[in-house]
Amino acid sequence: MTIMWNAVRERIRRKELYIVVAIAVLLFLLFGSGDGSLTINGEPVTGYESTFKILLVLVNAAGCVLSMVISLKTIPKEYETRTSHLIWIRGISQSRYHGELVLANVAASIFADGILYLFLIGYTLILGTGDYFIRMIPAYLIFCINAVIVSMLVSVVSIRCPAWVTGLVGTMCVLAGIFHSVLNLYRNMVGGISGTALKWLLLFMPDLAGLQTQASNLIFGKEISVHEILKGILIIYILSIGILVIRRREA
Amino acid sequence: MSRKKNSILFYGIYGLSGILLLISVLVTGTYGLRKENVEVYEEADALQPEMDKMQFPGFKLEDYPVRFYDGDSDYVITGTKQPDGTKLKKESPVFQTYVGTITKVDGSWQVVVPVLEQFSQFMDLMADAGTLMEGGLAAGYEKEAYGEEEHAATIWHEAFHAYQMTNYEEAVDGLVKEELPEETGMGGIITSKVDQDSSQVSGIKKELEHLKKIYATEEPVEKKKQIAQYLELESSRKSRLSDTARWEEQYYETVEGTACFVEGYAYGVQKGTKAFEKHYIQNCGYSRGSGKYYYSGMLKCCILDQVCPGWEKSCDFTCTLDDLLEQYTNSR
Repeated sequence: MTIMWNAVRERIRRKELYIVVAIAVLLFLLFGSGDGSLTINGEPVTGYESTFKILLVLVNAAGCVLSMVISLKTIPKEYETRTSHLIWIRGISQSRYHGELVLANVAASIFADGILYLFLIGYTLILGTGDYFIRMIPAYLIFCINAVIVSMLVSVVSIRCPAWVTGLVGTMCVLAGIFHSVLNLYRNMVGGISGTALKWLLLFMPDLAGLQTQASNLIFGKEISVHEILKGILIIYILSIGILVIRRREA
Repeated sequence: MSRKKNSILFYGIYGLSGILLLISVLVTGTYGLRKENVEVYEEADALQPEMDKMQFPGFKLEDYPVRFYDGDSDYVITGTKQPDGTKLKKESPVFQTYVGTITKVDGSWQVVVPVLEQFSQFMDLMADAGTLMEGGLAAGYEKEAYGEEEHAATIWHEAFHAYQMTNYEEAVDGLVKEELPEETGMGGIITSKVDQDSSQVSGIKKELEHLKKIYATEEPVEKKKQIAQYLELESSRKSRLSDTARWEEQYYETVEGTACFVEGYAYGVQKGTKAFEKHYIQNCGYSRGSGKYYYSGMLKCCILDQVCPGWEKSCDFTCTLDDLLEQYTNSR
Protein backbone atom coordinates (compact mmCIF):
# COMPACT_ATOMS: atom_id res chain seq x y z
CA MET A 1 0.00 0.00 0.00
CA THR A 2 3.06 2.28 0.23
CA ILE A 3 2.92 2.92 -3.51
CA MET A 4 -0.72 3.94 -3.26
CA TRP A 5 -0.21 6.34 -0.34
CA ASN A 6 2.78 7.91 -2.05
CA ALA A 7 0.67 8.45 -5.17
CA VAL A 8 -2.11 10.02 -3.09
CA ARG A 9 0.41 12.30 -1.35
CA GLU A 10 1.76 13.26 -4.77
CA ARG A 11 -1.74 14.33 -5.77
CA ILE A 12 -2.10 16.51 -2.70
CA ARG A 13 1.28 18.05 -3.44
CA ARG A 14 0.22 18.80 -7.01
CA LYS A 15 -2.72 20.78 -5.61
CA GLU A 16 -5.18 19.07 -8.00
CA LEU A 17 -7.69 18.68 -5.22
CA TYR A 18 -7.77 22.39 -4.50
CA ILE A 19 -9.30 22.89 -7.96
CA VAL A 20 -12.07 20.52 -6.90
CA VAL A 21 -12.75 22.54 -3.77
CA ALA A 22 -12.83 25.70 -5.88
CA ILE A 23 -15.43 24.14 -8.23
CA ALA A 24 -17.57 23.04 -5.27
CA VAL A 25 -17.47 26.53 -3.74
CA LEU A 26 -18.30 28.06 -7.10
CA LEU A 27 -21.30 25.75 -7.54
CA PHE A 28 -22.48 26.60 -4.07
CA LEU A 29 -22.16 30.31 -4.65
CA LEU A 30 -23.87 30.12 -8.03
CA PHE A 31 -26.82 27.92 -7.19
CA GLY A 32 -27.06 28.44 -3.46
CA SER A 33 -27.89 32.10 -4.04
CA GLY A 34 -31.04 33.54 -5.56
CA ASP A 35 -29.14 35.11 -8.45
CA GLY A 36 -27.95 31.77 -9.74
CA SER A 37 -31.31 30.03 -9.57
CA LEU A 38 -31.92 27.61 -12.41
CA THR A 39 -34.62 28.20 -14.95
CA ILE A 40 -36.26 25.72 -17.31
CA ASN A 41 -38.39 26.99 -20.16
CA GLY A 42 -38.08 30.49 -18.73
CA GLU A 43 -39.66 29.38 -15.46
CA PRO A 44 -37.54 29.45 -12.31
CA VAL A 45 -37.04 26.04 -10.76
CA THR A 46 -37.70 26.82 -7.15
CA GLY A 47 -38.58 23.53 -5.45
CA TYR A 48 -35.85 21.84 -3.45
CA GLU A 49 -36.37 18.43 -5.06
CA SER A 50 -36.30 19.58 -8.68
CA THR A 51 -33.32 21.88 -8.11
CA PHE A 52 -31.51 19.15 -6.21
CA LYS A 53 -31.96 16.66 -9.05
CA ILE A 54 -30.49 19.12 -11.53
CA LEU A 55 -27.60 19.89 -9.20
CA LEU A 56 -26.99 16.16 -8.77
CA VAL A 57 -26.59 15.88 -12.55
CA LEU A 58 -24.11 18.77 -12.52
CA VAL A 59 -22.13 17.35 -9.61
CA ASN A 60 -22.12 13.92 -11.26
CA ALA A 61 -20.78 15.41 -14.49
CA ALA A 62 -18.16 17.50 -12.67
CA GLY A 63 -17.15 14.49 -10.53
CA CYS A 64 -16.71 12.25 -13.57
CA VAL A 65 -14.66 14.82 -15.46
CA LEU A 66 -12.46 15.39 -12.42
CA SER A 67 -11.94 11.65 -11.92
CA MET A 68 -10.78 11.49 -15.52
CA VAL A 69 -8.38 14.41 -15.10
CA ILE A 70 -7.01 13.04 -11.83
CA SER A 71 -6.39 9.56 -13.25
CA LEU A 72 -5.24 10.44 -16.75
CA LYS A 73 -1.50 10.80 -16.25
CA THR A 74 -0.69 8.92 -13.06
CA ILE A 75 0.60 5.71 -14.66
CA PRO A 76 2.28 7.28 -17.76
CA LYS A 77 4.09 9.78 -15.50
CA GLU A 78 5.48 7.01 -13.33
CA TYR A 79 7.05 5.52 -16.44
CA GLU A 80 8.18 8.91 -17.76
CA THR A 81 10.02 9.75 -14.54
CA ARG A 82 11.42 6.21 -14.41
CA THR A 83 10.01 5.69 -10.93
CA SER A 84 8.90 2.30 -12.21
CA HIS A 85 12.54 1.07 -12.25
CA LEU A 86 12.79 1.56 -8.50
CA ILE A 87 9.74 -0.67 -8.18
CA TRP A 88 11.09 -3.51 -10.34
CA ILE A 89 14.31 -3.52 -8.33
CA ARG A 90 12.23 -4.36 -5.26
CA GLY A 91 10.70 -7.33 -7.10
CA ILE A 92 7.17 -5.93 -7.11
CA SER A 93 5.00 -7.31 -9.91
CA GLN A 94 3.65 -5.03 -12.60
CA SER A 95 0.03 -5.90 -11.83
CA ARG A 96 0.51 -5.01 -8.15
CA TYR A 97 2.27 -1.77 -9.07
CA HIS A 98 -0.47 -0.77 -11.50
CA GLY A 99 -3.11 -1.92 -9.05
CA GLU A 100 -1.81 0.35 -6.30
CA LEU A 101 -1.53 3.31 -8.67
CA VAL A 102 -5.11 2.71 -9.81
CA LEU A 103 -6.19 2.50 -6.17
CA ALA A 104 -4.52 5.86 -5.57
CA ASN A 105 -6.45 7.31 -8.50
CA VAL A 106 -9.67 5.81 -7.21
CA ALA A 107 -9.09 7.14 -3.68
CA ALA A 108 -8.34 10.63 -5.00
CA SER A 109 -11.42 10.50 -7.27
CA ILE A 110 -13.72 9.40 -4.44
CA PHE A 111 -12.27 12.18 -2.29
CA ALA A 112 -12.75 14.80 -5.03
CA ASP A 113 -16.26 13.54 -5.73
CA GLY A 114 -16.95 13.67 -2.00
CA ILE A 115 -15.95 17.32 -1.80
CA LEU A 116 -18.36 18.13 -4.63
CA TYR A 117 -21.01 16.04 -2.91
CA LEU A 118 -20.44 18.04 0.30
CA PHE A 119 -21.79 21.01 -1.60
CA LEU A 120 -25.04 19.07 -2.13
CA ILE A 121 -25.12 18.11 1.54
CA GLY A 122 -24.72 21.79 2.44
CA TYR A 123 -27.53 22.66 0.04
CA THR A 124 -29.77 20.01 1.67
CA LEU A 125 -28.95 21.25 5.16
CA ILE A 126 -30.10 24.74 4.18
CA LEU A 127 -33.13 23.93 2.01
CA GLY A 128 -33.94 20.24 2.46
CA THR A 129 -35.16 18.17 5.37
CA GLY A 130 -33.43 15.95 7.93
CA ASP A 131 -34.67 12.79 6.20
CA TYR A 132 -33.00 13.71 2.96
CA PHE A 133 -29.79 14.56 4.78
CA ILE A 134 -29.61 11.17 6.50
CA ARG A 135 -30.25 9.30 3.26
CA MET A 136 -27.59 11.32 1.44
CA ILE A 137 -24.84 9.48 3.26
CA PRO A 138 -25.63 5.93 2.02
CA ALA A 139 -26.60 7.46 -1.34
CA TYR A 140 -23.00 8.60 -1.74
CA LEU A 141 -21.89 4.96 -1.80
CA ILE A 142 -23.97 4.54 -4.96
CA PHE A 143 -23.10 7.95 -6.37
CA CYS A 144 -19.33 7.47 -6.07
CA ILE A 145 -19.43 4.25 -8.14
CA ASN A 146 -19.43 6.57 -11.17
CA ALA A 147 -16.19 8.25 -10.09
CA VAL A 148 -14.63 4.83 -9.44
CA ILE A 149 -15.65 3.55 -12.89
CA VAL A 150 -14.28 6.60 -14.71
CA SER A 151 -11.07 6.62 -12.70
CA MET A 152 -10.45 2.89 -13.22
CA LEU A 153 -11.34 3.01 -16.89
CA VAL A 154 -8.99 5.91 -17.61
CA SER A 155 -6.24 4.34 -15.49
CA VAL A 156 -6.49 0.97 -17.25
CA VAL A 157 -6.47 2.56 -20.72
CA SER A 158 -3.50 4.73 -19.73
CA ILE A 159 -1.34 1.66 -19.01
CA ARG A 160 -0.80 1.06 -22.71
CA CYS A 161 -2.24 4.00 -24.63
CA PRO A 162 -0.86 7.49 -25.16
CA ALA A 163 -2.47 10.34 -23.20
CA TRP A 164 -4.53 11.61 -26.15
CA VAL A 165 -6.13 8.20 -26.74
CA THR A 166 -6.83 7.82 -23.01
CA GLY A 167 -8.33 11.31 -22.93
CA LEU A 168 -10.49 10.56 -25.96
CA VAL A 169 -11.75 7.24 -24.58
CA GLY A 170 -12.37 8.83 -21.17
CA THR A 171 -14.26 11.81 -22.62
CA MET A 172 -16.39 9.52 -24.80
CA CYS A 173 -17.25 7.31 -21.84
CA VAL A 174 -18.08 10.24 -19.59
CA LEU A 175 -20.27 11.92 -22.20
CA ALA A 176 -22.01 8.70 -23.28
CA GLY A 177 -22.38 7.68 -19.63
CA ILE A 178 -23.87 10.94 -18.42
CA PHE A 179 -26.24 11.16 -21.38
CA HIS A 180 -26.83 7.40 -21.48
CA SER A 181 -30.59 7.50 -20.99
CA VAL A 182 -31.04 10.44 -23.37
CA LEU A 183 -28.92 8.72 -26.04
CA ASN A 184 -30.80 5.48 -25.51
CA LEU A 185 -34.05 7.32 -26.01
CA TYR A 186 -32.65 9.06 -29.06
CA ARG A 187 -31.46 5.84 -30.69
CA ASN A 188 -34.97 4.44 -30.37
CA MET A 189 -36.46 7.58 -31.86
CA VAL A 190 -34.20 7.70 -34.88
CA GLY A 191 -34.08 3.96 -35.55
CA GLY A 192 -32.26 2.76 -38.70
CA ILE A 193 -28.52 2.37 -39.07
CA SER A 194 -27.60 5.27 -36.77
CA GLY A 195 -29.94 3.87 -34.14
CA THR A 196 -28.34 0.44 -34.38
CA ALA A 197 -24.82 1.92 -34.26
CA LEU A 198 -25.75 3.93 -31.17
CA LYS A 199 -27.28 0.85 -29.59
CA TRP A 200 -23.99 -1.06 -29.90
CA LEU A 201 -21.98 1.90 -28.70
CA LEU A 202 -24.16 2.31 -25.61
CA LEU A 203 -23.88 -1.38 -24.87
CA PHE A 204 -20.19 -0.86 -24.06
CA MET A 205 -20.57 2.45 -22.25
CA PRO A 206 -21.21 2.57 -18.50
CA ASP A 207 -24.61 4.02 -17.59
CA LEU A 208 -23.41 6.83 -15.31
CA ALA A 209 -26.84 8.50 -15.45
CA GLY A 210 -28.52 5.30 -14.25
CA LEU A 211 -26.36 5.14 -11.13
CA GLN A 212 -26.93 8.81 -10.41
CA THR A 213 -30.69 8.19 -10.67
CA GLN A 214 -30.44 5.37 -8.14
CA ALA A 215 -28.65 7.68 -5.70
CA SER A 216 -31.37 10.29 -6.26
CA ASN A 217 -34.09 7.65 -5.74
CA LEU A 218 -32.51 6.59 -2.47
CA ILE A 219 -32.42 10.18 -1.22
CA PHE A 220 -36.04 10.84 -2.11
CA GLY A 221 -37.29 7.50 -0.79
CA LYS A 222 -38.15 6.05 -4.19
CA GLU A 223 -37.57 2.50 -5.33
CA ILE A 224 -33.97 1.80 -6.29
CA SER A 225 -32.81 -0.65 -8.93
CA VAL A 226 -30.36 -3.14 -7.39
CA HIS A 227 -29.63 -4.33 -10.92
CA GLU A 228 -28.24 -0.91 -11.93
CA ILE A 229 -25.95 -0.83 -8.89
CA LEU A 230 -24.73 -4.39 -9.44
CA LYS A 231 -24.06 -3.55 -13.08
CA GLY A 232 -21.84 -0.67 -11.93
CA ILE A 233 -19.95 -2.97 -9.58
CA LEU A 234 -19.56 -5.56 -12.34
CA ILE A 235 -17.98 -2.90 -14.58
CA ILE A 236 -15.52 -2.13 -11.78
CA TYR A 237 -14.76 -5.86 -11.54
CA ILE A 238 -14.18 -6.15 -15.28
CA LEU A 239 -11.87 -3.13 -15.18
CA SER A 240 -9.95 -4.71 -12.32
CA ILE A 241 -9.27 -7.70 -14.61
CA GLY A 242 -7.74 -5.15 -16.99
CA ILE A 243 -5.27 -4.12 -14.29
CA LEU A 244 -4.18 -7.72 -13.83
CA VAL A 245 -3.99 -8.54 -17.51
CA ILE A 246 -2.72 -5.41 -19.27
CA ARG A 247 1.03 -4.99 -19.11
CA ARG A 248 3.45 -2.35 -20.28
CA ARG A 249 6.46 -3.28 -22.42
CA GLU A 250 8.99 -0.93 -20.75
CA ALA A 251 8.89 -2.94 -17.55
CA MET B 1 5.13 -22.67 -1.74
CA SER B 2 3.12 -20.53 0.65
CA ARG B 3 3.29 -17.67 -1.87
CA LYS B 4 1.89 -19.93 -4.56
CA LYS B 5 -0.87 -21.03 -2.22
CA ASN B 6 -1.76 -17.42 -1.45
CA SER B 7 -1.83 -16.63 -5.14
CA ILE B 8 -4.16 -19.56 -5.85
CA LEU B 9 -6.37 -18.49 -2.96
CA PHE B 10 -6.45 -14.88 -4.21
CA TYR B 11 -7.35 -15.80 -7.77
CA GLY B 12 -9.86 -18.38 -6.54
CA ILE B 13 -11.73 -15.85 -4.42
CA TYR B 14 -11.37 -13.22 -7.13
CA GLY B 15 -12.80 -15.52 -9.80
CA LEU B 16 -15.60 -16.76 -7.57
CA SER B 17 -16.68 -13.23 -6.61
CA GLY B 18 -16.74 -12.35 -10.31
CA ILE B 19 -18.99 -15.32 -11.09
CA LEU B 20 -21.30 -14.44 -8.17
CA LEU B 21 -21.45 -10.83 -9.30
CA LEU B 22 -22.29 -11.82 -12.86
CA ILE B 23 -25.04 -14.17 -11.64
CA SER B 24 -26.47 -11.39 -9.42
CA VAL B 25 -26.56 -8.98 -12.36
CA LEU B 26 -28.34 -11.56 -14.51
CA VAL B 27 -30.80 -12.52 -11.80
CA THR B 28 -31.78 -8.94 -10.91
CA GLY B 29 -32.24 -7.86 -14.57
CA THR B 30 -35.63 -7.30 -16.17
CA TYR B 31 -36.34 -9.35 -19.24
CA GLY B 32 -39.28 -9.06 -21.54
CA LEU B 33 -42.13 -6.64 -21.03
CA ARG B 34 -42.19 -4.90 -17.66
CA LYS B 35 -45.26 -5.61 -15.58
CA GLU B 36 -46.22 -1.89 -15.52
CA ASN B 37 -47.09 -2.15 -19.21
CA VAL B 38 -49.34 -5.14 -18.69
CA GLU B 39 -50.96 -3.19 -15.86
CA VAL B 40 -51.46 -0.23 -18.19
CA TYR B 41 -53.19 -2.47 -20.71
CA GLU B 42 -55.35 -4.02 -18.01
CA GLU B 43 -56.24 -0.56 -16.68
CA ALA B 44 -57.17 0.55 -20.19
CA ASP B 45 -59.19 -2.60 -20.80
CA ALA B 46 -61.01 -2.17 -17.48
CA LEU B 47 -62.30 1.21 -18.71
CA GLN B 48 -64.43 -0.49 -21.38
CA PRO B 49 -67.79 -0.28 -19.49
CA GLU B 50 -67.26 3.47 -18.98
CA MET B 51 -66.04 3.96 -22.55
CA ASP B 52 -69.18 2.22 -23.81
CA LYS B 53 -71.11 5.27 -22.58
CA MET B 54 -69.61 7.14 -25.54
CA GLN B 55 -71.77 5.00 -27.84
CA PHE B 56 -69.45 4.64 -30.80
CA PRO B 57 -71.04 1.50 -32.29
CA GLY B 58 -69.00 -1.64 -31.60
CA PHE B 59 -65.90 0.16 -30.34
CA LYS B 60 -64.05 -2.32 -28.11
CA LEU B 61 -60.41 -2.12 -27.10
CA GLU B 62 -60.11 -5.90 -27.02
CA ASP B 63 -60.66 -5.98 -30.78
CA TYR B 64 -57.29 -4.33 -31.36
CA PRO B 65 -54.07 -5.97 -30.15
CA VAL B 66 -51.66 -3.50 -28.55
CA ARG B 67 -47.97 -3.67 -29.46
CA PHE B 68 -45.58 -2.29 -26.83
CA TYR B 69 -42.22 -1.46 -28.38
CA ASP B 70 -39.32 -1.50 -25.91
CA GLY B 71 -36.50 -0.53 -28.22
CA ASP B 72 -35.75 -4.09 -29.31
CA SER B 73 -39.01 -6.00 -29.67
CA ASP B 74 -42.75 -5.60 -29.85
CA TYR B 75 -44.74 -7.21 -27.05
CA VAL B 76 -48.21 -7.84 -28.36
CA ILE B 77 -51.06 -7.95 -25.87
CA THR B 78 -54.45 -9.09 -27.02
CA GLY B 79 -57.74 -8.71 -25.23
CA THR B 80 -58.70 -12.30 -25.79
CA LYS B 81 -56.60 -15.16 -24.49
CA GLN B 82 -54.25 -16.92 -26.86
CA PRO B 83 -54.63 -20.70 -27.40
CA ASP B 84 -51.50 -21.28 -25.30
CA GLY B 85 -53.11 -19.50 -22.37
CA THR B 86 -51.09 -16.31 -22.46
CA LYS B 87 -52.19 -12.87 -23.56
CA LEU B 88 -48.67 -11.75 -24.34
CA LYS B 89 -46.51 -12.51 -27.37
CA LYS B 90 -43.05 -11.28 -28.30
CA GLU B 91 -42.62 -10.32 -31.96
CA SER B 92 -40.19 -8.51 -34.22
CA PRO B 93 -40.84 -4.76 -34.11
CA VAL B 94 -43.05 -3.26 -36.80
CA PHE B 95 -41.45 0.17 -36.41
CA GLN B 96 -37.94 0.40 -34.98
CA THR B 97 -38.71 3.74 -33.42
CA TYR B 98 -40.97 5.16 -30.73
CA VAL B 99 -44.33 6.03 -32.17
CA GLY B 100 -47.92 6.09 -31.06
CA THR B 101 -49.76 4.86 -34.13
CA ILE B 102 -51.62 1.96 -35.72
CA THR B 103 -50.41 -0.66 -38.15
CA LYS B 104 -51.99 -3.41 -40.21
CA VAL B 105 -50.72 -6.88 -39.30
CA ASP B 106 -52.11 -9.95 -41.05
CA GLY B 107 -55.06 -7.96 -42.34
CA SER B 108 -56.15 -6.42 -39.03
CA TRP B 109 -55.32 -3.12 -37.37
CA GLN B 110 -53.17 -3.06 -34.27
CA VAL B 111 -52.11 -0.31 -31.87
CA VAL B 112 -48.41 0.53 -31.54
CA VAL B 113 -47.12 2.39 -28.48
CA PRO B 114 -43.74 2.61 -26.79
CA VAL B 115 -43.35 0.91 -23.42
CA LEU B 116 -44.43 3.15 -20.56
CA GLU B 117 -40.95 3.64 -19.10
CA GLN B 118 -39.58 4.96 -22.38
CA PHE B 119 -42.58 7.09 -23.22
CA SER B 120 -42.64 8.55 -19.72
CA GLN B 121 -38.94 9.37 -20.01
CA PHE B 122 -39.58 10.93 -23.38
CA MET B 123 -42.39 13.07 -21.97
CA ASP B 124 -40.18 14.25 -19.10
CA LEU B 125 -37.53 15.17 -21.60
CA MET B 126 -40.04 17.06 -23.70
CA ALA B 127 -41.31 18.87 -20.64
CA ASP B 128 -37.74 19.71 -19.66
CA ALA B 129 -37.13 21.12 -23.08
CA GLY B 130 -40.29 23.14 -22.73
CA THR B 131 -41.69 21.55 -25.80
CA LEU B 132 -45.16 20.19 -26.24
CA MET B 133 -45.48 17.14 -28.36
CA GLU B 134 -47.47 17.92 -31.42
CA GLY B 135 -50.56 15.86 -31.74
CA GLY B 136 -52.24 16.16 -28.40
CA LEU B 137 -50.69 13.15 -26.73
CA ALA B 138 -48.40 15.11 -24.47
CA ALA B 139 -50.03 18.47 -24.63
CA GLY B 140 -50.55 20.03 -21.26
CA TYR B 141 -48.94 17.33 -19.19
CA GLU B 142 -46.79 18.71 -16.45
CA LYS B 143 -43.27 17.51 -15.88
CA GLU B 144 -43.13 13.96 -14.53
CA ALA B 145 -46.88 13.66 -14.86
CA TYR B 146 -46.96 11.08 -17.63
CA GLY B 147 -47.84 7.81 -15.98
CA GLU B 148 -50.02 4.74 -16.29
CA GLU B 149 -53.31 6.65 -16.62
CA GLU B 150 -51.96 8.86 -19.38
CA HIS B 151 -50.55 5.86 -21.22
CA ALA B 152 -53.90 4.05 -20.93
CA ALA B 153 -55.58 7.14 -22.44
CA THR B 154 -53.02 7.13 -25.28
CA ILE B 155 -53.84 3.47 -25.98
CA TRP B 156 -57.53 4.40 -26.27
CA HIS B 157 -56.61 7.22 -28.67
CA GLU B 158 -54.75 4.86 -30.97
CA ALA B 159 -57.34 2.10 -30.58
CA PHE B 160 -59.93 4.55 -31.86
CA HIS B 161 -57.85 5.04 -35.01
CA ALA B 162 -57.78 1.26 -35.40
CA TYR B 163 -61.57 1.31 -35.02
CA GLN B 164 -61.88 4.07 -37.64
CA MET B 165 -59.72 2.22 -40.12
CA THR B 166 -61.38 -1.16 -39.50
CA ASN B 167 -64.93 0.11 -39.92
CA TYR B 168 -64.79 3.37 -41.87
CA GLU B 169 -61.57 3.33 -43.90
CA GLU B 170 -63.26 4.50 -47.08
CA ALA B 171 -65.09 7.34 -45.35
CA VAL B 172 -61.94 8.45 -43.52
CA ASP B 173 -59.95 8.49 -46.77
CA GLY B 174 -62.84 10.34 -48.40
CA LEU B 175 -62.41 13.30 -46.05
CA VAL B 176 -59.46 14.30 -48.20
CA LYS B 177 -61.10 14.52 -51.58
CA GLU B 178 -58.04 14.44 -53.81
CA GLU B 179 -54.56 12.98 -53.90
CA LEU B 180 -52.35 15.34 -51.91
CA PRO B 181 -49.26 16.76 -53.57
CA GLU B 182 -46.38 14.33 -53.05
CA GLU B 183 -43.90 17.04 -52.03
CA THR B 184 -45.95 18.20 -49.06
CA GLY B 185 -47.90 15.07 -48.10
CA MET B 186 -50.45 15.09 -45.31
CA GLY B 187 -50.12 18.15 -43.11
CA GLY B 188 -47.71 19.86 -45.49
CA ILE B 189 -50.19 22.54 -46.55
CA ILE B 190 -50.93 23.35 -42.91
CA THR B 191 -47.35 24.23 -42.08
CA SER B 192 -46.45 25.74 -45.43
CA LYS B 193 -49.59 27.81 -45.98
CA VAL B 194 -51.97 28.09 -43.00
CA ASP B 195 -49.29 28.62 -40.33
CA GLN B 196 -47.55 31.21 -42.49
CA ASP B 197 -50.68 33.33 -42.89
CA SER B 198 -51.09 35.68 -39.91
CA SER B 199 -54.81 36.24 -40.57
CA GLN B 200 -55.38 32.45 -40.52
CA VAL B 201 -53.35 32.09 -37.32
CA SER B 202 -55.25 34.83 -35.50
CA GLY B 203 -58.52 33.40 -36.86
CA ILE B 204 -57.75 29.92 -35.55
CA LYS B 205 -56.76 31.33 -32.15
CA LYS B 206 -60.03 33.23 -31.96
CA GLU B 207 -62.00 30.11 -32.97
CA LEU B 208 -60.32 27.99 -30.30
CA GLU B 209 -61.19 30.54 -27.64
CA HIS B 210 -64.73 30.67 -28.96
CA LEU B 211 -65.04 26.87 -28.73
CA LYS B 212 -63.80 26.95 -25.13
CA LYS B 213 -66.42 29.60 -24.36
CA ILE B 214 -69.17 27.45 -25.91
CA TYR B 215 -68.00 24.46 -23.86
CA ALA B 216 -68.26 26.51 -20.67
CA THR B 217 -71.68 27.99 -21.47
CA GLU B 218 -74.52 26.20 -19.74
CA GLU B 219 -77.60 28.06 -20.97
CA PRO B 220 -78.90 26.03 -24.00
CA VAL B 221 -80.27 28.93 -26.09
CA GLU B 222 -77.11 30.95 -25.62
CA LYS B 223 -75.01 27.88 -26.39
CA LYS B 224 -76.84 27.31 -29.66
CA LYS B 225 -76.39 30.96 -30.60
CA GLN B 226 -72.67 30.77 -29.89
CA ILE B 227 -72.33 27.61 -31.99
CA ALA B 228 -74.00 29.38 -34.93
CA GLN B 229 -71.65 32.35 -34.46
CA TYR B 230 -68.69 30.01 -34.36
CA LEU B 231 -69.67 28.28 -37.58
CA GLU B 232 -69.95 31.64 -39.31
CA LEU B 233 -66.57 32.72 -37.98
CA GLU B 234 -64.94 29.50 -39.11
CA SER B 235 -66.64 29.50 -42.48
CA SER B 236 -65.44 33.04 -43.18
CA ARG B 237 -61.84 32.07 -42.39
CA LYS B 238 -62.02 28.83 -44.35
CA SER B 239 -63.34 30.65 -47.41
CA ARG B 240 -59.86 32.17 -47.73
CA LEU B 241 -58.22 28.73 -47.76
CA SER B 242 -57.44 26.51 -50.72
CA ASP B 243 -59.51 23.32 -51.16
CA THR B 244 -56.57 21.15 -50.12
CA ALA B 245 -55.98 23.09 -46.91
CA ARG B 246 -59.69 22.89 -46.09
CA TRP B 247 -59.72 19.12 -46.65
CA GLU B 248 -56.68 18.70 -44.46
CA GLU B 249 -58.29 20.73 -41.69
CA GLN B 250 -61.49 18.71 -41.82
CA TYR B 251 -59.54 15.46 -41.96
CA TYR B 252 -57.53 16.27 -38.82
CA GLU B 253 -60.52 17.64 -36.95
CA THR B 254 -62.72 14.68 -37.74
CA VAL B 255 -60.21 11.84 -37.53
CA GLU B 256 -57.79 13.09 -34.89
CA GLY B 257 -60.29 15.27 -33.03
CA THR B 258 -62.55 12.29 -32.33
CA ALA B 259 -59.53 10.17 -31.28
CA CYS B 260 -58.41 12.97 -28.99
CA PHE B 261 -61.95 13.12 -27.60
CA VAL B 262 -61.77 9.39 -26.83
CA GLU B 263 -58.34 9.87 -25.24
CA GLY B 264 -59.62 12.73 -23.10
CA TYR B 265 -62.67 10.72 -22.10
CA ALA B 266 -60.47 7.82 -20.96
CA TYR B 267 -58.30 10.29 -19.05
CA GLY B 268 -61.35 11.88 -17.43
CA VAL B 269 -62.79 8.52 -16.40
CA GLN B 270 -59.56 7.75 -14.59
CA LYS B 271 -58.66 11.15 -13.17
CA GLY B 272 -61.93 13.01 -12.93
CA THR B 273 -63.65 15.82 -14.83
CA LYS B 274 -61.55 18.58 -13.24
CA ALA B 275 -58.29 16.95 -14.33
CA PHE B 276 -59.73 16.38 -17.81
CA GLU B 277 -60.72 20.04 -18.13
CA LYS B 278 -57.36 21.20 -16.85
CA HIS B 279 -55.31 19.07 -19.23
CA TYR B 280 -57.56 18.88 -22.25
CA ILE B 281 -59.77 21.98 -22.31
CA GLN B 282 -57.68 24.70 -20.70
CA ASN B 283 -54.58 23.69 -22.62
CA CYS B 284 -56.27 23.82 -26.01
CA GLY B 285 -54.37 26.45 -27.88
CA TYR B 286 -52.77 27.30 -31.19
CA SER B 287 -49.66 25.38 -32.18
CA ARG B 288 -47.87 25.05 -35.47
CA GLY B 289 -48.71 21.97 -37.52
CA SER B 290 -51.72 19.73 -37.21
CA GLY B 291 -51.95 19.69 -33.39
CA LYS B 292 -54.38 22.61 -33.20
CA TYR B 293 -57.01 20.62 -35.12
CA TYR B 294 -56.77 17.78 -32.62
CA TYR B 295 -57.87 20.31 -30.01
CA SER B 296 -60.55 22.03 -32.07
CA GLY B 297 -61.91 18.64 -33.16
CA MET B 298 -61.94 17.39 -29.58
CA LEU B 299 -63.69 20.57 -28.39
CA LYS B 300 -66.32 20.12 -31.06
CA CYS B 301 -66.89 16.52 -29.91
CA CYS B 302 -67.23 17.71 -26.30
CA ILE B 303 -69.77 20.34 -27.37
CA LEU B 304 -71.69 17.76 -29.43
CA ASP B 305 -71.70 15.56 -26.36
CA GLN B 306 -73.33 18.40 -24.40
CA VAL B 307 -75.94 19.39 -26.99
CA CYS B 308 -76.64 16.09 -28.78
CA PRO B 309 -75.96 13.23 -26.35
CA GLY B 310 -75.46 9.99 -28.24
CA TRP B 311 -74.22 11.74 -31.40
CA GLU B 312 -71.54 9.05 -31.59
CA LYS B 313 -74.12 6.45 -32.59
CA SER B 314 -74.46 8.00 -36.04
CA CYS B 315 -70.80 8.98 -36.42
CA ASP B 316 -69.64 7.12 -39.52
CA PHE B 317 -67.11 9.73 -40.74
CA THR B 318 -69.08 10.44 -43.89
CA CYS B 319 -69.72 13.94 -42.56
CA THR B 320 -67.54 16.33 -40.62
CA LEU B 321 -67.95 17.56 -37.06
CA ASP B 322 -68.93 20.95 -38.48
CA ASP B 323 -71.75 19.24 -40.42
CA LEU B 324 -73.00 17.70 -37.17
CA LEU B 325 -72.86 21.07 -35.38
CA GLU B 326 -74.66 22.71 -38.28
CA GLN B 327 -77.38 20.05 -38.20
CA TYR B 328 -77.86 20.90 -34.52
CA THR B 329 -78.10 24.65 -35.08
CA ASN B 330 -80.60 24.08 -37.90
CA SER B 331 -82.73 21.85 -35.70
CA ARG B 332 -85.62 23.37 -33.77
